Amino acid sequence: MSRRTLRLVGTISGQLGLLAGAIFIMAPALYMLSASFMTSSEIFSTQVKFLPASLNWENYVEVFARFNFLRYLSNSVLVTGAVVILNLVFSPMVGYSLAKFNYPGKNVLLLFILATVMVPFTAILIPLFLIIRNFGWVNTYQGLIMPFAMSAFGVFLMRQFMLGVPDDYIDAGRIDGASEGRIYFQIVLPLIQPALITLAIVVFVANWDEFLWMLVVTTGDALRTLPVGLAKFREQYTTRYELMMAGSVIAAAPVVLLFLAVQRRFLQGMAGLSGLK
Amino acid sequence: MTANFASRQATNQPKQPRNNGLFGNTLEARKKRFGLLFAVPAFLFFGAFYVYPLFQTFYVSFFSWGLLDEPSFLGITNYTRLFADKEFLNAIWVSFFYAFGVVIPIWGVALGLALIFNQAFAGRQAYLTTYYIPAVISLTVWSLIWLLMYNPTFGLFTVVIRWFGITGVRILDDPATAMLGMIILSIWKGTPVYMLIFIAGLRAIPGDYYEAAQIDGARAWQRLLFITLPLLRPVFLYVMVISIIEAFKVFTPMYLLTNGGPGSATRVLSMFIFQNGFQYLKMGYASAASVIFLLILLLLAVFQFRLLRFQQSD
Amino acid sequence: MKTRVYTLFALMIISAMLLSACTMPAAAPTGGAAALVADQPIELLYMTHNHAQSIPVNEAIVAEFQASHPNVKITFDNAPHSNYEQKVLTAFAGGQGPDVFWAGDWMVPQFLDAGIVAPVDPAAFGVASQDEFEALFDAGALDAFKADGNIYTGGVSEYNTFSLIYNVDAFAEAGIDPLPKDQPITWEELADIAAKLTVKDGDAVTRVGLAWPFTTPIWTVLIQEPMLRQKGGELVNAEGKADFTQEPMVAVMTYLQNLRNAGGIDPATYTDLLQDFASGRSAMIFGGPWAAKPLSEINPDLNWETAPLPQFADAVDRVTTLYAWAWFVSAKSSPEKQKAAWEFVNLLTSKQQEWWDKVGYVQARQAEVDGMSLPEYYAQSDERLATIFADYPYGKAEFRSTKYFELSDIWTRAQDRVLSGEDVMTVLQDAQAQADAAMTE
Repeated sequence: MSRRTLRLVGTISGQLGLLAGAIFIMAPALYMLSASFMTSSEIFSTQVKFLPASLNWENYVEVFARFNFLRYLSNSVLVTGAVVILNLVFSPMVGYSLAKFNYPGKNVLLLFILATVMVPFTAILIPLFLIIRNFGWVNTYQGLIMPFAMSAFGVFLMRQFMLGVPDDYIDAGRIDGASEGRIYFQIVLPLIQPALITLAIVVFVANWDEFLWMLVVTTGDALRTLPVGLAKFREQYTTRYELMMAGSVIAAAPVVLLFLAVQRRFLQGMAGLSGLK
Repeated sequence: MTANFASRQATNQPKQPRNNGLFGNTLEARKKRFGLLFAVPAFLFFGAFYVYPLFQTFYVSFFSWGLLDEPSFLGITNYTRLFADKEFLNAIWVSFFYAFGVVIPIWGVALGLALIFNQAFAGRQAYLTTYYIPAVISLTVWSLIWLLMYNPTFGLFTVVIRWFGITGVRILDDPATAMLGMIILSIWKGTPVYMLIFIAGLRAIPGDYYEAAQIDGARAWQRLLFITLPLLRPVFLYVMVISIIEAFKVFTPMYLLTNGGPGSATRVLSMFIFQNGFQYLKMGYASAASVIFLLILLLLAVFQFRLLRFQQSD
Repeated sequence: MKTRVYTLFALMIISAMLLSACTMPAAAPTGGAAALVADQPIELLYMTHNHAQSIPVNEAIVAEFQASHPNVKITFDNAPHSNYEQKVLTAFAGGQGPDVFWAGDWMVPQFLDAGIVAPVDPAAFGVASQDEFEALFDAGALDAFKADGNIYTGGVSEYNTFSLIYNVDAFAEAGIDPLPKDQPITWEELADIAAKLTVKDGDAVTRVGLAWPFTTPIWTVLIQEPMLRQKGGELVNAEGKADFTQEPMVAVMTYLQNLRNAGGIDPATYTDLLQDFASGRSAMIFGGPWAAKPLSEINPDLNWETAPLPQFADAVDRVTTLYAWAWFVSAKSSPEKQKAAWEFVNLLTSKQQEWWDKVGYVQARQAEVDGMSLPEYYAQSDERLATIFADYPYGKAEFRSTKYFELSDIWTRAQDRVLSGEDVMTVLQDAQAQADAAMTE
């Protein structure tokens, strides 16, 4: 075989391999989508069904009608949206400060944040709950949002990107007489735009999924978010898989769609990381 | 001339100010103030919501507290009880098993995929996006999908492995395989994130190194072994530390799928803490377990740092 | 620089611990003793579990009460059964405990210990004393809620036992005669029948003989405890000490292991109790009166029958289980709230017909419905239920302990391990060690 044919075979088999890999990776998600349109008997049949006989939209209708999903959805959007915005405001600030400045207490702060990464949420759940209670924030939106206003991962991510910003740019701004604030907003932030998108996605995904805290801090359906709604499907006497899958699709769709919308920039941002730690 | 000037400067140096450099109108001082200002929100936030509760947990671990009553001082009794508690020791073992069972395959697969995706080829962007999707689906949803897929009668997973001749599998209901089920779904979901981090690390390696090596006649696998892997070491350290910590903290799949069972096969440390604190209302006991949990993670992190630093120096 | 950081850190640890000492324990704010002004606006939080059929009934009663008491606003919340009681307890710990709520009778020791529940206010029910209040209910119905001379509930919301419910068609297929209605079969006979009823397609179980309630620890206790008692044992003795290694417990666990080995039960196949049974994925279940309505909703064509709860051949006594969910009023709420809450409970407990017709909940508060006494009314809605009602008199309540959650979890884990084939004595000894540790804190 000529070298060209060999190359071609290599490329085709490579593509096939990747395609197979892609289907494999996506299989659970695709199955979720498919099962959300099935009837109960189709799911339970021992003859495995990959596709439903017909699109049973009633599952979705029932999920919205019986289970208050619209409220859960809007609460999730509100809470996660707020968390993302707060992170976008504060994390770059802190990251910038950690990357480009020295001041007393800087190492202490790093230690604080490092400790946060190591601590499992269940360990601080009760004391955190009591703190929120003392603020009077139980069963309020603030109570749901504030503990996530910043994230250790977000801060470190920002710090990493800030480290990559050449000092010359910043010094040039200083020489020109710009205030530190102006330098931050007009020079530094625009330079790390892809990182901001990355941060937004990562925080969004993590917070959209937050279950334990949302369950503990809410009494009543008024403020509950999607993950809690999904758990309610596990009622004592009824586990309706088809509804659970429909609810799951509703819960997963916004994040997936958001990701697809910004994936180019996001991948640029993540893959543009250089020199970690 | 310059030498004289320099030495004159040296002897005329004013004494270093005893403050921390925050005061005054020098550029340095202004920078310091600005840096501190921008760091204040973080101090407040992490202090109030994470560090302070952490100290409270540490404090409570020396008491017996049922949440609704008065705490009573116990000294280190909670700790001694923990180490005599078979369930606690089981939780530690099970957590280790799960964590390493998840991260080691992830390291391999993520690195492999990253090496592939580091090349340019048709459809790279599209494939990368597709491969990343499981990472974007929330863990709650992901766990519920797998609950359905693991069903021993009609679940997709059971059916597919039946095609390969493996029958009679009731993966979540058999203590021997329940944890395996957790590991599989975690690897599936966790790999894309680390794959991306590895890609980032690979792209940071200057192409010149490879060119030089190629000129010297090095083959592909030699380039991989002697250039890529060594230069990836800091990234690898980062991935190692983060992935292990995250794996230890995992809670949702165990809670949703098996509730720690069957028996205690999937009762990881975070579940143990949750059950003792939140369900049995033994706050002191759960807090002590949390402290030990934290210590374990710290030791692991230190160990990994030492391990990779050692290698780096040779 | 390093020493500075360490000193700073150490200072912080010390000051944080001092701070912690000052603010702990975080006492839940209690209601103030305001003057009892009628028509003062009152807000009540009413919490129940989320059994689907019960929700509309609750909502209707809430609406009715608000209409007749314009100054009272009730927020109705419901939560899934799993972790329901912990949610209630944590809510109290956070100072946001519900004013009126459902809970199982097994929670009473913990509620009393924590001082959460208030003794009943007879005036709200139109009677003068607690004795007269008790007389409104079936004899003995409120025993589980009594302590130090007081009754701590406003009434039972459901009152259940477990009997056997089986699929007649499945029996016929396997050539088994329908079970006698007046006489319980033995557990040993049940094991045989269950094994015969299991149907497999290759290695997949398409129908399991007996659905063994594997999911929640509460069910483990509710089924195993009568078995234990039939053998003459008792999990928790009078002093409150748990004994997992007693002979009766070994006998019960061994029985279960054999049942599993013979294929009569299969943990893996369990998805949903009623759905599985109604769709033919299980041939027998344990259920109470509440099962009748949902079953006919899910599958009206299902041909099911009832039979008494099985008894061991060598049982020392005929024992079934008896458990109740009841209405509680928070002792932490202000006096006006409590007063309004008791009046609300009075309304809730007088809706016996709705509770039965729409949800299948048996009520203990006596009443006449359509000219019949409650038991007669229940019986005439479905004669199959008569068998279940016949099991009530033999019912004994679950064990009482402030360590209920931990002990039931230990029990369930031991059951899981036994069902996966581990040696019974080893498992029970481990369970005993855990129970001993649990009791000491």
